[in-house]
Amino acid sequence: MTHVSLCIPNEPEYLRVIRQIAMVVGAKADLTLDALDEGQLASDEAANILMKFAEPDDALYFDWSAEPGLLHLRSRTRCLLLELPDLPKTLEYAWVIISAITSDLDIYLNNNELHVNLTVKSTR
Amino acid sequence: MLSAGAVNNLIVELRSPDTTQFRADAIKSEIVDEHQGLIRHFIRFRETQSYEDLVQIGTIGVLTAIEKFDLDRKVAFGTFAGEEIKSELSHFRRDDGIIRVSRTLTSHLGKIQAAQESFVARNNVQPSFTELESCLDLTRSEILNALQANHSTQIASLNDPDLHIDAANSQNEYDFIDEWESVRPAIDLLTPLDRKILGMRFVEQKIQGDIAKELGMNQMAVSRRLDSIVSQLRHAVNTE
Repeated sequence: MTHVSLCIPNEPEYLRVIRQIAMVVGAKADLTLDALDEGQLASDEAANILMKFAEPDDALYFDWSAEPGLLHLRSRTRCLLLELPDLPKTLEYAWVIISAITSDLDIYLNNNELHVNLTVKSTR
Repeated sequence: MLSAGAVNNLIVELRSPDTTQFRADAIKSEIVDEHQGLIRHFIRFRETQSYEDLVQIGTIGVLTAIEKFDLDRKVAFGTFAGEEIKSELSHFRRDDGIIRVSRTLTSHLGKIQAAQESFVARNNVQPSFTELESCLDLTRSEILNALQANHSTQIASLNDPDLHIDAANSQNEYDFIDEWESVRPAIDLLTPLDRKILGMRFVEQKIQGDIAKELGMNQMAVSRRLDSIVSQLRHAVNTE
């Protein structure tokens, strides 16, 4: 099972690295081309959600794994919020997008960390 | 507005050895002014290049058309000029885009697209990555690099359905999008086709292959557009 981990600073310049890893791991998962895209987009959106709630100096952690037809991402960052705001309302269009392209999406706070875990599956 | 016959008469006058340089310049200027609407028709609203630059390039297309137009052919000058404008704009987009995609990558993208379409035609489902790989004489890295490049280019065919979508209907169809306050300015800048794709993918939750089929595009073009649309929305939020 392919497994890739990455830690990046909270800076949008690193998003392109996230996209590239998501594509390569997605190919290992033998996704269809459109699911490959969505794996990139979902990883991108997950990173944006973490960036939105992380402190400027915090690091963002990503772990991708592949299994046939499925791309999983587990991501997290330190977060000082005591409780999550209403995500659909706060994230607005980003919520619609990430909900639409993932087959599994879990966003939660645990021990001062914000977690965004998701799965993208092949579209066939 | 000048009729086709009047434009032809101006071109005849322009080419006459008796026409002074001053008059020749005035004629060219008149014909160019007459075709500003045509130039604007071929410029996309959300293009990355400056709008003024594109109008200038389109103007070169009209001037080229004035020089090359064959009066003996039974074609209206506007039709001929349209092709020249499209050609000039295409060259400009290809050569002066923010990112240039190498010929090798472009060729690989073409092969991937052809293999994908042929697979879908045979099997009626999208190929998995491995299936696609087995249809191509490219390495995994070459395929991944080409797919990455697909998102780096914003070049699109002037013949794509973008120009033929009914703007008013498309906008009404996806009124919900207007509720996304944070990205409203970016939404307003989207073409009708992009609004439609946005709604089809993220609200109707159709997969790219089905959107492509419905809109008469290919999956890779839909993918490119979705990527561009989401980037525009995100950019709008980040620059709020």
